[in-house]
Amino acid sequence: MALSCRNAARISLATLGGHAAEAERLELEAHLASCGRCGEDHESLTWVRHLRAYQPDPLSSASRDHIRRALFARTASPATPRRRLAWPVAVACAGVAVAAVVGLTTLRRQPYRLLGGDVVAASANPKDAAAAVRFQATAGGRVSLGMAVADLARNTELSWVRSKQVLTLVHGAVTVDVEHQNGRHFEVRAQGFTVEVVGTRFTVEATGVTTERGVVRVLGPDGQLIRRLGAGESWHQQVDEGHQVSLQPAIAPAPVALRTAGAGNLSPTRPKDAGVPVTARLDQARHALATGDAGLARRLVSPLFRQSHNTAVEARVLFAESFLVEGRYADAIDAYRLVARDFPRTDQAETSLFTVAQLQCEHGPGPDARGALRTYLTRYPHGRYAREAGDRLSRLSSVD
Amino acid sequence: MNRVEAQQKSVFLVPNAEDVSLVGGCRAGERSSLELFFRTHAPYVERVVTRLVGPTSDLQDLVQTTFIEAIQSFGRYRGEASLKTWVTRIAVHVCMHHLRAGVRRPVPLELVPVAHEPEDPTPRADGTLSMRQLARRLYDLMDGLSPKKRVAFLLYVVEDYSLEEVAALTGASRAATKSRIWFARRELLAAVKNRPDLRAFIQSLGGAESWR
Repeated sequence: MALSCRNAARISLATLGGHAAEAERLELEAHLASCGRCGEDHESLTWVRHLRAYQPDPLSSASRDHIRRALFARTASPATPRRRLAWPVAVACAGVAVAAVVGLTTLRRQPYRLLGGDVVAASANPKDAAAAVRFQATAGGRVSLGMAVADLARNTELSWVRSKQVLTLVHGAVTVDVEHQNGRHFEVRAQGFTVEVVGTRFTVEATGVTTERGVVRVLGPDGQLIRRLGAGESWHQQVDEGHQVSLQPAIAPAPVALRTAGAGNLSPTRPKDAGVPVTARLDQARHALATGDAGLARRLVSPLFRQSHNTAVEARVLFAESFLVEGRYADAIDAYRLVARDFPRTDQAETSLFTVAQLQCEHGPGPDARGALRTYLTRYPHGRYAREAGDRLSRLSSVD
Repeated sequence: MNRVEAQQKSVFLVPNAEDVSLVGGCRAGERSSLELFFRTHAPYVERVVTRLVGPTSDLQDLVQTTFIEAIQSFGRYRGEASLKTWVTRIAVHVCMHHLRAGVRRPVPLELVPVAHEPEDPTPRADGTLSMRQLARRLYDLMDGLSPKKRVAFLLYVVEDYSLEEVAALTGASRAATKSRIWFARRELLAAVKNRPDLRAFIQSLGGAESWR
């Protein structure tokens, strides 16, 4: 059978190395005589055979003596197993690990930062993320807690566990602004309930919680959902007929403090007690708004959301106005919309809906502004502001 | 025992009594045993190193490194191969490391063509010189191969080791060794075809007739 070119190449290689049998050599010669390409390839590698004849110059006797002396200078190593690279690799890994730990420790964000006020922090082990840090503020203050910023009211004490992202209100009141981070959990625990949040701004007192932005979930001691609070909504544990906020008997009373506007600008105003009559509380809130203390106003009115209809609607309007005072228009729009939704048969509802339209227009002649005006006109075609709303809508449409 | 180890074991020569006593003396650090070990194997190691690396001024260093490695490794010599095979294997690894490190092979001065030396590749009357000239050119060609292919090819074709022996010396499987030799041949063929001057030089050697 004729030899294939591939086998010819294999035998050619074996022949060069002197590994081919005589029969294979003859077979290869026959193939090379008939196959020019294989013959050419084989001829191209014949130079390899010349290397076999190449006898390099041996080392000189001086060089050999040099090697001999170098060898005798060493002694044979004991018959121990070679240690290979195990320990150098281990040392290198340990070094890298130490450097990483030092770097992380140095560069890692502080577990908390005191931003203002007279907040005092204390911890048994500040470097331990699982150890609780206690914050106490007599006049109030602000603390950064990783993804959240907490405004402590007067006479407030908190406990913070960084590893769990849990803030516990020991007493007083705290307003928390939580930055939304996917997958991150944050909760505030008070006596008798827990507030679970994702990203929002809300105020927790011993008696309840008020949400300014976003959504929070209020959980009971058993982890069951009590209520879900949207922006502008609040929840309190118990409200008695005397229009006073009180704690349930099972819950130890905690001194209630009212949140001030900001840490760096703490109001000297004496915190209002929960036992102040509703009318006086509303007056105090109006006064606070007049003086620019929007936070105090919200704190004053938020317990009144569950009061009688007239009181609640007035409180909710003041709550919405507090955002306007602060220039937080998006929050204000949300709060006014809630007034219009929850109290549709009131004058405040019409005013709120038109205020929403006005605020939208101030933000630009976009579809939101036109939509808000149309909503008002649809709902109140003959309302007090219908003419003005119509004119605005016409102007916006002509601009387009 | 895996396949590579089985192949290696099968081709390694069983050490003779002299090897056993020599290794015992070397392990004990006896000067006479070390002297005998060096004198016995130095010429062969020199030749293997030169064949694999080519003409180099590093020859002394490579030989010395080979023997230092051997002396430091006597504790791990298990007597599964002859001392010659064992030290050859060390030399092969030293050469592969040298080639892998990319150390350029300095050309001895006497091999550098001078101005009056004709470029005519025709072998001169001085056969030794022509062999040096040939060796320089051929090892230049070998520099294009990877160390694994180069060593496998040279051990098989020039040093006449069988496939199994080459596999054992390089610590590779038989299939991998065969593949390396095959691809080395293919790359060398391509290199020769791309060098017409070298091709003419090789043809002038008349090697094609000599082996047939």
